[in-house]
Amino acid sequence: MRDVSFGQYYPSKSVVHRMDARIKIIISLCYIVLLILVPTIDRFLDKGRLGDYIVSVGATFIVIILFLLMVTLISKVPPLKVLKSVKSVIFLVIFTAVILVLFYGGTSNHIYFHKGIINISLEGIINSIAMAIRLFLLVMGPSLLTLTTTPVELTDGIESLLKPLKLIKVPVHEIALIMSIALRLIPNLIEEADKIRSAQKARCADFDSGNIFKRAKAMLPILVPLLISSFRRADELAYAMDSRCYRGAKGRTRMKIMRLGIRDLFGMLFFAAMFFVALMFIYDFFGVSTALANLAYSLI
Amino acid sequence: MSFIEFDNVSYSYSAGTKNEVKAVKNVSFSIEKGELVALVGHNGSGKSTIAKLMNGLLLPQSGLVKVNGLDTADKKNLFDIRKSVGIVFQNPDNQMVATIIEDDVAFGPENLGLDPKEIRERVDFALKSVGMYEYREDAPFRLSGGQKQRIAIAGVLAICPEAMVLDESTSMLDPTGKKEIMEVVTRLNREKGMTVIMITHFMEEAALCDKIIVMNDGSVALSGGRQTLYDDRLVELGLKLPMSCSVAKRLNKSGMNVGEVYTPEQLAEAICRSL
Ligand SMILES: Nc1ncnc2c1ncn2[C@@H]1O[C@H](COP(=O)(O)OP(=O)(O)O)[C@@H](O)[C@H]1O
Ligand SMILES: [Mg+2]
Repeated sequence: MRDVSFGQYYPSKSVVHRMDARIKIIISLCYIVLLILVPTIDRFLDKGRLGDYIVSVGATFIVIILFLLMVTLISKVPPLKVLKSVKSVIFLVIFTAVILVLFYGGTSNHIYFHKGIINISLEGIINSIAMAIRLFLLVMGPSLLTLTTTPVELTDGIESLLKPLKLIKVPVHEIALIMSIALRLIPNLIEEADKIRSAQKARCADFDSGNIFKRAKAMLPILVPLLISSFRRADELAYAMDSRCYRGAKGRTRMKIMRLGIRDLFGMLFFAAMFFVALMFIYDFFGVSTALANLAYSLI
Repeated sequence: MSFIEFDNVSYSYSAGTKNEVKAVKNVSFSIEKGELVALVGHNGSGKSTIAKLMNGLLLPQSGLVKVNGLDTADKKNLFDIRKSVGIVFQNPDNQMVATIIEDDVAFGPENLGLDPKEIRERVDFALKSVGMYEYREDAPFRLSGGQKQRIAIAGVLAICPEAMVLDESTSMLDPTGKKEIMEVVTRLNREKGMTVIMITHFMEEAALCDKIIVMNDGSVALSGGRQTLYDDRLVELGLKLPMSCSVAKRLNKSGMNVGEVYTPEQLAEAICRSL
């Protein structure tokens, strides 16, 4: 229960934890953009060699992984926790990788097996490995964000970042409030679901046997009371909020003001440096990737 | 002019439909500043409805509710009325907005538009008043019921209201929790002069109040000072007297005069004296 209510927040007083949530959110978004910018093999092979691709993308990944590793160490989050975050997508990634290997349709000069639409080639394998690493990194970055930022800080950060949307009448404050109340109510809902479940079990309901459809159907007597009690809860909460002078965002101030500090500047600079180096390898600025690839070729 | 005035107030849920429930019928009473009032009655007698009428969460369908002379039916007054009358509800879990205790207590003063420094001061003051200051950075769900309810009280205190209504706020708590809350509340009343309206069907709590209003089926059946607890009509309404009162009553009847006492300590003293 504790896990759910805090997302997967890992409490600590590190610099990363104390950074402004808004900066962390922006950095996470840029991080995702960076991963999207990593090219697939098709785009590359039209003009370059396979080795160039491996060097360019490989170097980019190494830079990103080093960045994640350093952030993890600075934040004092156990590295295992970060690694574990990929658990939920591991099947998706393996599945995608297998499909990509089997049905790779791009340029391929090193074909191992070809029949009908199945086409296994060196290029396909490299492509799918790159894809898998990309997906894993895509999950690990944002999970580092939720490991080092409380849900409240996150929703406050999102509210603050979306403020400009108020100009076009998007109810930013309300959306943020809904998110934070939802987070607040999750442990209560779980507790309640548990209670109802035990009550039904005491009356011989069976939740644990039968196939998945049977089990889903057995859950129905839990969901209905849960839904009803949630409505009642929401009703009472609304009274309690009104009673505490809530009038929406109008005239409301906050106790904790988010202020940018020197650590935020350093965090941003650190990320920007990583971002630039990664882009340098991706887009071959100053011919670094080509030079590295040439070096590799000459060594082989 | 009294602080809170109910003048011939009626309220029905689902008014005008088949399911109409007349929850409050022609109720009139008034409460002065600094009073410690108990509002007692059976389940469904309309106590919670009265509480919600007190700061305009519900509006009377007929009659008037006035707080400091301001009519709750006028929308413009609602903000000021809610600033002066706060309500603590029954279930502490349904009153919390935030995942961190101090953020939750800050919710009220934040709505008042105070500046951050003052909000901080009020939050600290409120948490200290209920003895929960050390927990300020924790999550509420690890606390006991009594502690959660103290947080809810702090949430109302931080608004600095003149009156606080506790709607069966002790009913879900164990005896220790009940005692904790009663101590906090009576202290606020004595030391800070806060008007407190205790809604309860636990008569031991009513015995600690200065004034008692007894509800029955949507109407005020009895009201008066503490001596109301010795009114025979209370028993006729089926309300259970506090142990000390019922013992004293029987002793009085059997000829051993102990007078009107309200707590076990007073009872013991009176018995010693009469021996
Ligand atoms: N939201 C509601 N909708 C319809 N009827 C209600 C609602 N709330 C309370 N009632 C009814 O109004 C009456 C008074 O309820 P309430 O004021 O909650 O009493 P108390 O707090 O003394 O138990 C009861 O008969 C109850 O069933
Ligand atoms: Mg009630």
